[in-house]
Amino acid sequence: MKNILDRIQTQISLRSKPEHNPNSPMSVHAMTVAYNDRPVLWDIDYDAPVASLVGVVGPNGAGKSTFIKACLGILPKLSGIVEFWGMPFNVARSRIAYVPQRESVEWDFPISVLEVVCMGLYAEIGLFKRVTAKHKARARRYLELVQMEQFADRQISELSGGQQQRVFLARALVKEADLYFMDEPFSGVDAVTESSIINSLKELKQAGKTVIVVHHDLTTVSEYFDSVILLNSRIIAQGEVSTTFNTENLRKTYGGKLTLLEDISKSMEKLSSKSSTVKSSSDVF
Amino acid sequence: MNSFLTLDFSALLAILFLGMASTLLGNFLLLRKESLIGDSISHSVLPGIVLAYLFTDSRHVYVVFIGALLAGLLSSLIINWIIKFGRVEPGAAMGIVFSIFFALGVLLIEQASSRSLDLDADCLLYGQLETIFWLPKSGEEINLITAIINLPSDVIAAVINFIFVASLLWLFWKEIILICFDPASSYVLGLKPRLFDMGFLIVVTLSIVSSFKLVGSILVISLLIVPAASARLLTNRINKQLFFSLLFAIVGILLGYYLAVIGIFAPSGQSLNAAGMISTILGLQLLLAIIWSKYRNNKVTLALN
Repeated sequence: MKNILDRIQTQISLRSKPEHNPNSPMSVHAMTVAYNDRPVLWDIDYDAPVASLVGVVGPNGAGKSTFIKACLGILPKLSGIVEFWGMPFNVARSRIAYVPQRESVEWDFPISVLEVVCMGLYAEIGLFKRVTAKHKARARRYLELVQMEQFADRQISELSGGQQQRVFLARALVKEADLYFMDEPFSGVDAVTESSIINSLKELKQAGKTVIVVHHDLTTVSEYFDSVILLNSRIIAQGEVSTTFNTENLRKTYGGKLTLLEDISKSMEKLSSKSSTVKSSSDVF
Repeated sequence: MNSFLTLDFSALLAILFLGMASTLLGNFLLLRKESLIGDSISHSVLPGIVLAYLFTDSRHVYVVFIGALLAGLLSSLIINWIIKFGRVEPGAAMGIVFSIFFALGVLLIEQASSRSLDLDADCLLYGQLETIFWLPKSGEEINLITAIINLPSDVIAAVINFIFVASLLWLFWKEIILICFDPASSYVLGLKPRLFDMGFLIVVTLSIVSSFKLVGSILVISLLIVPAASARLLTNRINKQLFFSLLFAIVGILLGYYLAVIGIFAPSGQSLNAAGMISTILGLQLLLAIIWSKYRNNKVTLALN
Protein backbone atom coordinates (compact mmCIF):
# COMPACT_ATOMS: atom_id res chain seq x y z
CA MET A 1 0.00 0.00 0.00
CA LYS A 2 2.76 2.40 0.93
CA ASN A 3 4.45 1.61 -2.37
CA ILE A 4 1.37 2.53 -4.36
CA LEU A 5 1.01 5.76 -2.44
CA ASP A 6 4.66 6.57 -3.07
CA ARG A 7 4.18 5.87 -6.73
CA ILE A 8 1.17 8.16 -7.04
CA GLN A 9 2.98 10.77 -5.01
CA THR A 10 6.01 10.81 -7.31
CA GLN A 11 3.84 10.77 -10.41
CA ILE A 12 1.98 13.79 -9.29
CA SER A 13 5.06 15.55 -8.05
CA LEU A 14 7.44 15.15 -11.02
CA ARG A 15 4.97 15.56 -13.86
CA SER A 16 3.45 18.64 -12.26
CA LYS A 17 6.76 20.23 -11.36
CA PRO A 18 7.19 23.25 -13.61
CA GLU A 19 10.93 22.59 -14.10
CA HIS A 20 10.25 19.17 -15.63
CA ASN A 21 8.99 18.55 -19.15
CA PRO A 22 5.84 16.38 -18.91
CA ASN A 23 6.50 14.77 -22.34
CA SER A 24 10.05 13.64 -21.54
CA PRO A 25 10.74 9.89 -21.79
CA MET A 26 12.93 10.21 -18.69
CA SER A 27 12.93 12.80 -15.95
CA VAL A 28 15.60 12.78 -13.26
CA HIS A 29 15.01 14.85 -10.17
CA ALA A 30 17.59 15.72 -7.49
CA MET A 31 19.50 12.46 -7.92
CA THR A 32 22.64 11.85 -5.84
CA VAL A 33 24.64 8.63 -6.10
CA ALA A 34 27.46 7.43 -3.82
CA TYR A 35 30.04 4.63 -3.91
CA ASN A 36 31.05 3.51 -0.41
CA ASP A 37 29.73 6.76 1.10
CA ARG A 38 31.68 8.88 -1.40
CA PRO A 39 29.24 10.79 -3.62
CA VAL A 40 30.06 10.44 -7.34
CA LEU A 41 27.00 12.17 -8.76
CA TRP A 42 25.57 15.25 -7.15
CA ASP A 43 22.08 16.65 -7.44
CA ILE A 44 21.31 15.62 -11.02
CA ASP A 45 18.26 17.21 -12.64
CA TYR A 46 17.55 16.19 -16.19
CA ASP A 47 14.81 15.76 -18.79
CA ALA A 48 15.63 13.57 -21.78
CA PRO A 49 14.37 15.11 -25.04
CA VAL A 50 11.85 13.25 -27.21
CA ALA A 51 13.19 11.60 -30.40
CA SER A 52 16.82 12.44 -29.88
CA LEU A 53 20.33 11.02 -29.75
CA VAL A 54 21.85 12.15 -26.46
CA GLY A 55 25.59 11.93 -25.75
CA VAL A 56 26.74 11.72 -22.13
CA VAL A 57 30.22 13.25 -22.12
CA GLY A 58 32.79 13.96 -19.42
CA PRO A 59 36.27 13.04 -18.18
CA ASN A 60 37.15 9.60 -16.77
CA GLY A 61 35.58 9.10 -13.37
CA ALA A 62 33.03 11.84 -13.98
CA GLY A 63 30.19 9.40 -13.34
CA LYS A 64 28.94 8.85 -16.90
CA SER A 65 28.26 5.13 -16.49
CA THR A 66 27.07 5.73 -12.96
CA PHE A 67 24.49 8.17 -14.33
CA ILE A 68 22.97 5.53 -16.62
CA LYS A 69 23.20 2.75 -14.05
CA ALA A 70 21.56 4.81 -11.33
CA CYS A 71 18.72 5.83 -13.68
CA LEU A 72 18.09 2.14 -14.45
CA GLY A 73 18.31 1.05 -10.82
CA ILE A 74 21.50 -0.99 -11.39
CA LEU A 75 23.22 1.18 -8.78
CA PRO A 76 21.35 2.43 -5.72
CA LYS A 77 20.53 6.12 -5.45
CA LEU A 78 21.31 8.02 -2.28
CA SER A 79 18.42 10.34 -3.06
CA GLY A 80 16.31 11.56 -5.92
CA ILE A 81 13.56 10.38 -8.25
CA VAL A 82 13.78 8.96 -11.77
CA GLU A 83 10.65 8.60 -13.87
CA PHE A 84 10.05 7.20 -17.34
CA TRP A 85 7.02 8.69 -19.12
CA GLY A 86 5.83 9.70 -15.66
CA MET A 87 6.09 6.14 -14.35
CA PRO A 88 8.59 4.47 -12.04
CA PHE A 89 11.18 2.21 -13.64
CA ASN A 90 9.48 -1.01 -12.51
CA VAL A 91 6.38 -0.14 -14.50
CA ALA A 92 8.21 1.22 -17.56
CA ARG A 93 11.02 -1.31 -17.91
CA SER A 94 9.52 -3.23 -20.84
CA ARG A 95 9.91 -0.05 -22.93
CA ILE A 96 13.58 0.38 -22.03
CA ALA A 97 16.60 -1.37 -23.61
CA TYR A 98 20.15 -1.30 -22.32
CA VAL A 99 23.56 -2.12 -23.82
CA PRO A 100 26.01 -2.50 -20.91
CA GLN A 101 29.68 -1.62 -20.69
CA ARG A 102 31.84 -4.28 -22.38
CA GLU A 103 33.71 -5.06 -19.16
CA SER A 104 30.61 -6.14 -17.26
CA VAL A 105 29.87 -9.02 -19.68
CA GLU A 106 31.23 -12.55 -19.18
CA TRP A 107 32.26 -13.03 -22.83
CA ASP A 108 33.64 -16.57 -22.29
CA PHE A 109 30.21 -17.84 -21.33
CA PRO A 110 29.29 -20.83 -23.58
CA ILE A 111 26.36 -19.27 -25.40
CA SER A 112 25.59 -18.68 -29.09
CA VAL A 113 25.08 -15.34 -30.81
CA LEU A 114 21.41 -16.15 -31.51
CA GLU A 115 20.81 -17.04 -27.85
CA VAL A 116 22.28 -13.69 -26.83
CA VAL A 117 19.92 -11.79 -29.14
CA CYS A 118 16.97 -13.80 -27.78
CA MET A 119 17.76 -12.33 -24.34
CA GLY A 120 16.27 -9.09 -25.62
CA LEU A 121 12.92 -10.93 -25.69
CA TYR A 122 13.07 -12.31 -22.14
CA ALA A 123 10.86 -9.54 -20.76
CA GLU A 124 8.21 -10.42 -23.33
CA ILE A 125 8.57 -14.20 -22.90
CA GLY A 126 8.22 -13.97 -19.15
CA LEU A 127 9.34 -16.04 -16.19
CA PHE A 128 9.27 -19.90 -16.40
CA LYS A 129 8.59 -19.89 -20.17
CA ARG A 130 10.95 -21.07 -22.90
CA VAL A 131 12.38 -19.37 -25.97
CA THR A 132 10.42 -20.71 -28.96
CA ALA A 133 11.19 -21.00 -32.68
CA LYS A 134 9.09 -17.89 -33.26
CA HIS A 135 11.27 -15.87 -30.89
CA LYS A 136 14.40 -17.19 -32.59
CA ALA A 137 13.06 -16.19 -36.01
CA ARG A 138 12.52 -12.65 -34.74
CA ALA A 139 16.00 -12.55 -33.24
CA ARG A 140 17.41 -13.73 -36.58
CA ARG A 141 15.71 -10.84 -38.40
CA TYR A 142 17.46 -8.35 -36.15
CA LEU A 143 20.77 -10.16 -36.64
CA GLU A 144 20.27 -9.60 -40.37
CA LEU A 145 19.62 -5.94 -39.67
CA VAL A 146 23.07 -5.57 -38.11
CA GLN A 147 24.57 -7.86 -40.79
CA MET A 148 25.51 -10.60 -38.36
CA GLU A 149 23.15 -13.37 -39.52
CA GLN A 150 25.99 -15.62 -40.70
CA PHE A 151 27.36 -15.68 -37.13
CA ALA A 152 24.08 -16.78 -35.48
CA ASP A 153 25.39 -20.17 -34.34
CA ARG A 154 28.86 -19.06 -33.28
CA GLN A 155 29.85 -18.76 -29.66
CA ILE A 156 29.84 -15.11 -28.62
CA SER A 157 33.54 -15.22 -27.59
CA GLU A 158 34.60 -16.21 -31.13
CA LEU A 159 33.57 -12.78 -32.43
CA SER A 160 35.64 -9.60 -32.62
CA GLY A 161 34.84 -6.66 -30.34
CA GLY A 162 32.99 -4.85 -33.10
CA GLN A 163 30.93 -7.91 -33.99
CA GLN A 164 30.04 -8.49 -30.33
CA GLN A 165 28.88 -4.91 -30.06
CA ARG A 166 26.66 -5.35 -33.13
CA VAL A 167 25.14 -8.47 -31.57
CA PHE A 168 24.37 -6.47 -28.44
CA LEU A 169 22.82 -3.76 -30.59
CA ALA A 170 20.60 -6.43 -32.18
CA ARG A 171 19.66 -7.62 -28.69
CA ALA A 172 18.60 -4.08 -27.76
CA LEU A 173 16.72 -3.57 -31.04
CA VAL A 174 14.75 -6.82 -30.86
CA LYS A 175 13.14 -5.53 -27.68
CA GLU A 176 11.51 -2.78 -29.78
CA ALA A 177 11.80 -0.38 -26.88
CA ASP A 178 11.11 3.36 -26.81
CA LEU A 179 14.14 4.44 -24.81
CA TYR A 180 17.66 3.04 -25.28
CA PHE A 181 20.68 3.31 -23.00
CA MET A 182 24.13 2.45 -24.34
CA ASP A 183 27.30 2.46 -22.26
CA GLU A 184 30.30 3.15 -24.53
CA PRO A 185 28.95 1.17 -27.52
CA PHE A 186 31.94 2.22 -29.65
CA SER A 187 34.74 1.01 -27.38
CA GLY A 188 36.88 -1.64 -29.09
CA VAL A 189 34.94 -1.19 -32.32
CA ASP A 190 36.28 -0.74 -35.87
CA ALA A 191 35.34 2.30 -37.98
CA VAL A 192 32.90 0.40 -40.21
CA THR A 193 30.98 -1.00 -37.24
CA GLU A 194 30.96 2.40 -35.55
CA SER A 195 29.29 4.06 -38.53
CA SER A 196 26.83 1.18 -38.96
CA ILE A 197 25.87 1.40 -35.27
CA ILE A 198 25.38 5.15 -35.45
CA ASN A 199 23.20 4.71 -38.54
CA SER A 200 20.98 2.28 -36.64
CA LEU A 201 20.73 4.78 -33.80
CA LYS A 202 19.73 7.55 -36.22
CA GLU A 203 16.98 5.32 -37.59
CA LEU A 204 15.72 4.83 -34.04
CA LYS A 205 15.61 8.59 -33.60
CA GLN A 206 13.65 8.98 -36.82
CA ALA A 207 11.16 6.45 -35.43
CA GLY A 208 10.64 8.82 -32.50
CA LYS A 209 12.80 7.01 -29.94
CA THR A 210 15.37 8.49 -27.61
CA VAL A 211 18.86 6.99 -27.29
CA ILE A 212 21.16 7.97 -24.42
CA VAL A 213 24.80 7.06 -25.13
CA VAL A 214 27.83 7.26 -22.84
CA HIS A 215 30.53 8.52 -25.17
CA HIS A 216 34.18 9.44 -24.70
CA ASP A 217 35.36 10.55 -28.13
CA LEU A 218 34.78 14.31 -28.12
CA THR A 219 35.70 14.68 -31.80
CA THR A 220 32.60 12.79 -32.95
CA VAL A 221 30.05 14.34 -30.59
CA SER A 222 28.84 17.01 -33.01
CA GLU A 223 28.58 14.48 -35.80
CA TYR A 224 26.67 11.82 -33.86
CA PHE A 225 24.41 13.53 -31.35
CA ASP A 226 21.57 16.04 -31.26
CA SER A 227 21.80 16.72 -27.59
CA VAL A 228 24.52 16.42 -25.00
CA ILE A 229 25.00 16.12 -21.24
CA LEU A 230 28.37 17.44 -20.04
CA LEU A 231 29.00 15.62 -16.80
CA ASN A 232 31.61 15.92 -14.09
CA SER A 233 30.04 14.78 -10.81
CA ARG A 234 27.40 17.40 -11.54
CA ILE A 235 25.71 18.29 -14.80
CA ILE A 236 27.96 21.11 -16.05
CA ALA A 237 25.81 21.83 -19.08
CA GLN A 238 23.03 20.16 -21.03
CA GLY A 239 21.06 20.85 -24.18
CA GLU A 240 21.35 20.95 -27.96
CA VAL A 241 24.82 20.11 -29.25
CA SER A 242 24.85 23.28 -31.36
CA THR A 243 24.38 25.56 -28.36
CA THR A 244 25.85 23.53 -25.49
CA PHE A 245 28.89 21.76 -26.90
CA ASN A 246 31.31 24.68 -26.91
CA THR A 247 34.83 25.35 -25.69
CA GLU A 248 33.73 27.20 -22.58
CA ASN A 249 31.48 24.38 -21.35
CA LEU A 250 34.12 21.78 -22.22
CA ARG A 251 36.71 23.74 -20.25
CA LYS A 252 34.37 23.75 -17.26
CA THR A 253 33.81 20.01 -17.62
CA TYR A 254 37.34 18.86 -18.26
CA GLY A 255 39.12 21.36 -16.01
CA GLY A 256 42.90 21.27 -16.23
CA LYS A 257 43.37 19.01 -19.24
CA LEU A 258 44.22 21.96 -21.47
CA THR A 259 46.22 20.28 -24.21
CA LEU A 260 43.30 18.00 -24.85
CA LEU A 261 41.01 20.99 -24.92
CA GLU A 262 43.14 22.82 -27.44
CA ASP A 263 42.96 19.82 -29.72
CA ILE A 264 39.22 19.74 -29.35
CA SER A 265 38.74 23.43 -29.96
CA LYS A 266 40.88 23.13 -33.08
CA SER A 267 38.81 20.21 -34.26
CA MET A 268 35.66 22.16 -33.55
CA GLU A 269 36.88 25.13 -35.52
CA LYS A 270 37.51 22.74 -38.37
CA LEU A 271 34.05 21.36 -37.89
CA SER A 272 32.29 24.71 -37.99
CA SER A 273 34.32 25.88 -40.98
CA LYS A 274 33.43 22.86 -43.08
CA SER A 275 30.38 21.40 -41.47
CA SER A 276 29.53 19.40 -44.58
CA THR A 277 32.65 17.20 -44.43
CA VAL A 278 32.44 16.39 -40.75
CA LYS A 279 34.14 13.03 -41.00
CA SER A 280 37.65 14.48 -41.36
CA SER A 281 37.55 15.60 -37.73
CA SER A 282 37.95 12.05 -36.49
CA ASP A 283 41.66 12.01 -37.35
CA VAL A 284 42.50 14.80 -34.92
CA PHE A 285 43.66 12.41 -32.19
CA MET B 1 22.85 -59.96 -6.59
CA ASN B 2 21.50 -60.04 -3.05
CA SER B 3 24.65 -58.56 -1.61
CA PHE B 4 24.50 -55.83 -4.26
CA LEU B 5 20.94 -54.91 -3.28
CA THR B 6 21.62 -54.88 0.45
CA LEU B 7 25.13 -53.42 0.55
CA ASP B 8 25.86 -51.45 -2.61
CA PHE B 9 22.51 -50.41 -4.09
CA SER B 10 21.66 -47.67 -1.60
CA ALA B 11 25.24 -46.38 -1.37
CA LEU B 12 25.51 -46.21 -5.15
CA LEU B 13 22.16 -44.42 -5.50
CA ALA B 14 23.21 -41.90 -2.84
CA ILE B 15 26.47 -41.08 -4.65
CA LEU B 16 24.72 -40.90 -8.02
CA PHE B 17 22.11 -38.38 -6.93
CA LEU B 18 24.48 -36.33 -4.76
CA GLY B 19 26.96 -36.42 -7.62
CA MET B 20 24.47 -35.26 -10.23
CA ALA B 21 23.30 -32.37 -8.04
CA SER B 22 26.88 -31.28 -7.35
CA THR B 23 27.78 -31.59 -11.03
CA LEU B 24 24.86 -29.41 -12.15
CA LEU B 25 25.79 -26.69 -9.65
CA GLY B 26 29.48 -27.12 -10.44
CA ASN B 27 28.88 -26.05 -14.06
CA PHE B 28 27.74 -22.65 -12.85
CA LEU B 29 30.52 -22.37 -10.27
CA LEU B 30 32.99 -23.04 -13.09
CA LEU B 31 31.43 -20.49 -15.46
CA ARG B 32 31.31 -17.87 -12.71
CA LYS B 33 34.97 -18.64 -11.87
CA GLU B 34 33.91 -19.56 -8.33
CA SER B 35 34.97 -23.19 -8.31
CA LEU B 36 37.01 -22.74 -5.14
CA ILE B 37 33.80 -21.99 -3.23
CA GLY B 38 33.07 -25.70 -3.12
CA ASP B 39 36.47 -26.36 -1.62
CA SER B 40 35.99 -23.57 0.84
CA ILE B 41 32.52 -24.51 2.05
CA SER B 42 33.23 -28.22 2.36
CA HIS B 43 36.18 -27.56 4.67
CA SER B 44 34.56 -24.75 6.60
CA VAL B 45 31.69 -26.91 7.82
CA LEU B 46 33.90 -28.84 10.28
CA PRO B 47 33.78 -26.41 13.24
CA GLY B 48 30.01 -26.07 12.73
CA ILE B 49 29.54 -29.82 13.03
CA VAL B 50 31.72 -30.11 16.13
CA LEU B 51 30.03 -27.16 17.83
CA ALA B 52 26.63 -28.64 17.01
CA TYR B 53 27.73 -31.88 18.74
CA LEU B 54 29.12 -30.01 21.71
CA PHE B 55 26.12 -27.77 22.28
CA THR B 56 23.40 -30.36 21.82
CA ASP B 57 25.18 -33.62 22.74
CA SER B 58 23.28 -35.06 19.83
CA ARG B 59 24.43 -36.91 16.73
CA HIS B 60 21.06 -36.47 15.10
CA VAL B 61 21.33 -35.86 11.38
CA TYR B 62 19.45 -32.54 11.49
CA VAL B 63 21.67 -31.14 14.23
CA VAL B 64 24.76 -31.94 12.16
CA PHE B 65 23.10 -30.52 9.09
CA ILE B 66 22.18 -27.20 10.67
CA GLY B 67 25.59 -26.80 12.32
CA ALA B 68 27.34 -27.46 9.02
CA LEU B 69 25.00 -25.17 7.08
CA LEU B 70 25.55 -22.27 9.49
CA ALA B 71 29.33 -22.70 9.42
CA GLY B 72 29.34 -22.91 5.60
CA LEU B 73 27.27 -19.74 5.24
CA LEU B 74 29.27 -17.91 7.89
CA SER B 75 32.50 -18.75 6.06
CA SER B 76 31.04 -17.32 2.82
CA LEU B 77 30.09 -14.12 4.61
CA ILE B 78 33.59 -13.80 6.07
CA ILE B 79 35.13 -14.47 2.64
CA ASN B 80 33.12 -11.61 1.12
CA TRP B 81 34.04 -9.41 4.05
CA ILE B 82 37.76 -10.15 3.61
CA ILE B 83 37.58 -9.52 -0.14
CA LYS B 84 35.97 -6.15 0.52
CA PHE B 85 38.04 -4.91 3.43
CA GLY B 86 41.20 -7.02 3.36
CA ARG B 87 42.12 -6.08 -0.21
CA VAL B 88 42.95 -9.65 -1.22
CA GLU B 89 41.82 -11.47 -4.32
CA PRO B 90 38.85 -13.85 -3.95
CA GLY B 91 40.98 -17.02 -4.25
CA ALA B 92 43.26 -15.91 -1.44
CA ALA B 93 40.33 -14.91 0.76
CA MET B 94 38.77 -18.36 0.31
CA GLY B 95 42.10 -20.04 1.06
CA ILE B 96 42.48 -18.02 4.24
CA VAL B 97 39.00 -18.70 5.52
CA PHE B 98 38.64 -22.40 4.82
CA SER B 99 42.05 -23.33 6.19
CA ILE B 100 41.40 -21.38 9.37
CA PHE B 101 37.90 -22.80 9.75
CA PHE B 102 39.21 -26.33 9.22
CA ALA B 103 42.01 -25.75 11.72
CA LEU B 104 39.50 -24.45 14.22
CA GLY B 105 37.47 -27.59 13.65
CA VAL B 106 40.47 -29.81 14.36
CA LEU B 107 41.17 -27.95 17.62
CA LEU B 108 37.53 -28.22 18.63
CA ILE B 109 37.59 -31.97 18.00
CA GLU B 110 40.58 -32.33 20.35
CA GLN B 111 38.72 -30.29 22.95
CA ALA B 112 35.71 -32.50 22.48
CA SER B 113 37.65 -35.74 22.70
CA SER B 114 37.96 -35.20 26.45
CA ARG B 115 34.18 -35.59 26.53
CA SER B 116 34.54 -38.96 24.79
CA LEU B 117 33.08 -37.84 21.50
CA ASP B 118 33.91 -40.20 18.68
CA LEU B 119 34.48 -37.76 15.88
CA ASP B 120 37.49 -37.18 13.68
CA ALA B 121 38.45 -35.07 10.72
CA ASP B 122 38.99 -38.18 8.60
CA CYS B 123 35.30 -38.89 8.20
CA LEU B 124 34.91 -35.39 6.83
CA LEU B 125 37.56 -36.05 4.18
CA TYR B 126 36.56 -39.58 3.15
CA GLY B 127 32.92 -39.78 4.15
CA GLN B 128 31.12 -42.72 5.68
CA LEU B 129 29.63 -44.44 2.71
CA GLU B 130 29.87 -47.81 4.47
CA THR B 131 27.28 -46.62 6.99
CA ILE B 132 24.43 -46.74 4.49
CA PHE B 133 23.19 -50.18 3.72
CA TRP B 134 19.96 -52.12 4.00
CA LEU B 135 19.72 -54.81 6.65
CA PRO B 136 16.77 -57.01 5.64
CA LYS B 137 14.76 -58.61 8.41
CA SER B 138 14.93 -62.38 8.49
CA GLY B 139 12.61 -63.89 5.93
CA GLU B 140 12.19 -60.59 4.07
CA GLU B 141 12.34 -61.02 0.32
CA ILE B 142 15.29 -59.33 -1.37
CA ASN B 143 14.51 -57.86 -4.76
CA LEU B 144 14.71 -54.48 -6.48
CA ILE B 145 11.31 -53.34 -5.24
CA THR B 146 11.90 -54.19 -1.58
CA ALA B 147 15.34 -52.62 -1.87
CA ILE B 148 13.78 -49.38 -3.11
CA ILE B 149 11.11 -49.44 -0.41
CA ASN B 150 13.77 -49.89 2.25
CA LEU B 151 16.13 -47.16 1.04
CA PRO B 152 17.80 -45.40 3.98
CA SER B 153 16.72 -41.83 4.70
CA ASP B 154 20.12 -40.49 3.60
CA VAL B 155 19.43 -41.78 0.09
CA ILE B 156 15.95 -40.27 0.01
CA ALA B 157 17.48 -36.95 1.11
CA ALA B 158 19.99 -37.19 -1.75
CA VAL B 159 17.22 -37.78 -4.29
CA ILE B 160 15.18 -34.87 -2.93
CA ASN B 161 18.24 -32.60 -3.06
CA PHE B 162 18.82 -33.54 -6.70
CA ILE B 163 15.20 -32.90 -7.67
CA PHE B 164 15.36 -29.55 -5.85
CA VAL B 165 18.52 -28.43 -7.69
CA ALA B 166 17.37 -29.71 -11.09
CA SER B 167 13.95 -28.06 -10.85
CA LEU B 168 15.45 -24.73 -9.78
CA LEU B 169 17.66 -24.83 -12.89
CA TRP B 170 14.74 -25.89 -15.08
CA LEU B 171 12.41 -23.15 -13.79
CA PHE B 172 14.87 -20.24 -13.82
CA TRP B 173 17.06 -21.38 -16.74
CA LYS B 174 16.78 -18.18 -18.83
CA GLU B 175 17.21 -15.91 -15.87
CA ILE B 176 20.20 -17.81 -14.44
CA ILE B 177 21.96 -17.72 -17.82
CA LEU B 178 21.36 -13.98 -18.17
CA ILE B 179 22.59 -13.21 -14.66
CA CYS B 180 25.77 -15.24 -15.20
CA PHE B 181 26.43 -13.83 -18.67
CA ASP B 182 25.43 -10.20 -18.26
CA PRO B 183 24.46 -9.25 -14.70
CA ALA B 184 24.08 -5.52 -15.45
CA SER B 185 21.39 -6.13 -18.08
CA SER B 186 19.53 -8.53 -15.82
CA TYR B 187 18.62 -5.56 -13.57
CA VAL B 188 16.72 -3.99 -16.45
CA LEU B 189 14.65 -7.19 -16.66
CA GLY B 190 13.80 -6.73 -12.98
CA LEU B 191 16.09 -9.51 -11.76
CA LYS B 192 18.19 -9.15 -8.63
CA PRO B 193 21.71 -10.52 -9.30
CA ARG B 194 22.82 -9.94 -5.72
CA LEU B 195 19.85 -11.87 -4.39
CA PHE B 196 20.70 -14.60 -6.90
CA ASP B 197 24.32 -14.73 -5.69
CA MET B 198 23.09 -15.29 -2.16
CA GLY B 199 20.48 -17.86 -3.14
CA PHE B 200 22.99 -19.72 -5.30
CA LEU B 201 25.47 -19.81 -2.41
CA ILE B 202 22.79 -21.21 -0.11
CA VAL B 203 21.83 -23.94 -2.61
CA VAL B 204 25.49 -24.87 -3.11
CA THR B 205 26.03 -24.99 0.65
CA LEU B 206 22.91 -27.13 1.12
CA SER B 207 24.12 -29.53 -1.54
CA ILE B 208 27.62 -29.80 -0.09
CA VAL B 209 26.40 -30.21 3.46
CA SER B 210 24.00 -32.97 2.47
CA SER B 211 26.78 -34.74 0.56
CA PHE B 212 29.99 -34.66 2.54
CA LYS B 213 28.78 -36.80 5.45
CA LEU B 214 28.36 -39.74 3.08
CA VAL B 215 30.94 -39.26 0.36
CA GLY B 216 33.47 -36.99 2.06
CA SER B 217 34.69 -33.56 1.11
CA ILE B 218 37.27 -34.79 -1.42
CA LEU B 219 34.67 -36.44 -3.62
CA VAL B 220 32.24 -33.52 -3.18
CA ILE B 221 34.89 -31.09 -4.39
CA SER B 222 35.81 -33.32 -7.36
CA LEU B 223 32.16 -33.71 -8.33
CA LEU B 224 31.63 -29.95 -8.12
CA ILE B 225 34.58 -29.10 -10.36
CA VAL B 226 35.90 -31.96 -12.47
CA PRO B 227 32.95 -33.19 -14.60
CA ALA B 228 32.03 -29.58 -15.46
CA ALA B 229 35.64 -28.79 -16.35
CA SER B 230 35.83 -31.86 -18.61
CA ALA B 231 32.53 -31.00 -20.30
CA ARG B 232 33.57 -27.37 -20.82
CA LEU B 233 36.39 -28.64 -23.06
CA LEU B 234 34.00 -30.54 -25.33
CA THR B 235 31.41 -27.90 -26.17
CA ASN B 236 30.64 -24.21 -26.43
CA ARG B 237 26.97 -24.50 -25.49
CA ILE B 238 25.78 -24.32 -21.93
CA ASN B 239 23.02 -26.95 -22.31
CA LYS B 240 25.39 -29.45 -23.97
CA GLN B 241 27.96 -28.72 -21.28
CA LEU B 242 25.44 -29.64 -18.59
CA PHE B 243 24.54 -32.84 -20.45
CA PHE B 244 28.16 -33.92 -20.95
CA SER B 245 29.07 -33.12 -17.36
CA LEU B 246 26.22 -35.31 -16.07
CA LEU B 247 27.38 -38.08 -18.39
CA PHE B 248 30.94 -37.79 -17.08
CA ALA B 249 29.69 -37.84 -13.48
CA ILE B 250 27.44 -40.88 -13.96
CA VAL B 251 30.05 -42.91 -15.86
CA GLY B 252 32.76 -41.90 -13.38
CA ILE B 253 30.65 -42.85 -10.36
CA LEU B 254 29.53 -46.24 -11.77
CA LEU B 255 32.98 -47.18 -13.01
CA GLY B 256 34.78 -45.88 -9.92
CA TYR B 257 32.39 -47.65 -7.56
CA TYR B 258 32.72 -50.92 -9.45
CA LEU B 259 36.52 -50.75 -9.52
CA ALA B 260 36.57 -49.96 -5.80
CA VAL B 261 34.29 -52.88 -4.95
CA ILE B 262 36.27 -55.44 -6.94
CA GLY B 263 39.42 -53.94 -5.40
CA ILE B 264 41.36 -53.45 -8.59
CA PHE B 265 45.15 -53.24 -8.01
CA ALA B 266 44.59 -53.95 -4.32
CA PRO B 267 47.27 -56.42 -3.10
CA SER B 268 44.86 -58.85 -1.49
CA GLY B 269 41.82 -58.01 -3.54
CA GLN B 270 40.02 -56.22 -0.68
CA SER B 271 37.60 -53.45 -1.66
CA LEU B 272 39.00 -49.92 -1.90
CA ASN B 273 37.69 -46.51 -0.87
CA ALA B 274 34.92 -45.74 -3.36
CA ALA B 275 35.15 -41.94 -2.97
CA GLY B 276 38.87 -42.04 -3.73
CA MET B 277 38.43 -44.32 -6.74
CA ILE B 278 35.61 -42.20 -8.22
CA SER B 279 37.64 -39.00 -7.80
CA THR B 280 40.56 -40.66 -9.57
CA ILE B 281 38.34 -41.76 -12.48
CA LEU B 282 36.93 -38.23 -12.77
CA GLY B 283 40.51 -36.95 -12.97
CA LEU B 284 41.33 -39.43 -15.74
CA GLN B 285 38.23 -38.29 -17.65
CA LEU B 286 39.49 -34.71 -17.46
CA LEU B 287 42.87 -35.85 -18.81
CA LEU B 288 41.15 -37.56 -21.74
CA ALA B 289 39.01 -34.47 -22.39
CA ILE B 290 42.14 -32.29 -22.45
CA ILE B 291 43.89 -34.62 -24.89
CA TRP B 292 40.79 -34.78 -27.08
CA SER B 293 40.34 -30.99 -27.18
CA LYS B 294 44.04 -30.49 -28.01
CA TYR B 295 43.72 -33.03 -30.82
CA ARG B 296 40.57 -31.33 -32.15
CA ASN B 297 42.15 -27.86 -31.99
CA ASN B 298 45.18 -29.14 -33.90
CA LYS B 299 42.89 -30.56 -36.55
CA VAL B 300 41.02 -27.25 -36.83
CA THR B 301 44.28 -25.29 -37.17
CA LEU B 302 45.54 -27.74 -39.80
CA ALA B 303 42.28 -27.46 -41.70
CA LEU B 304 42.48 -23.66 -41.61
CA ASN B 305 46.06 -23.70 -42.86
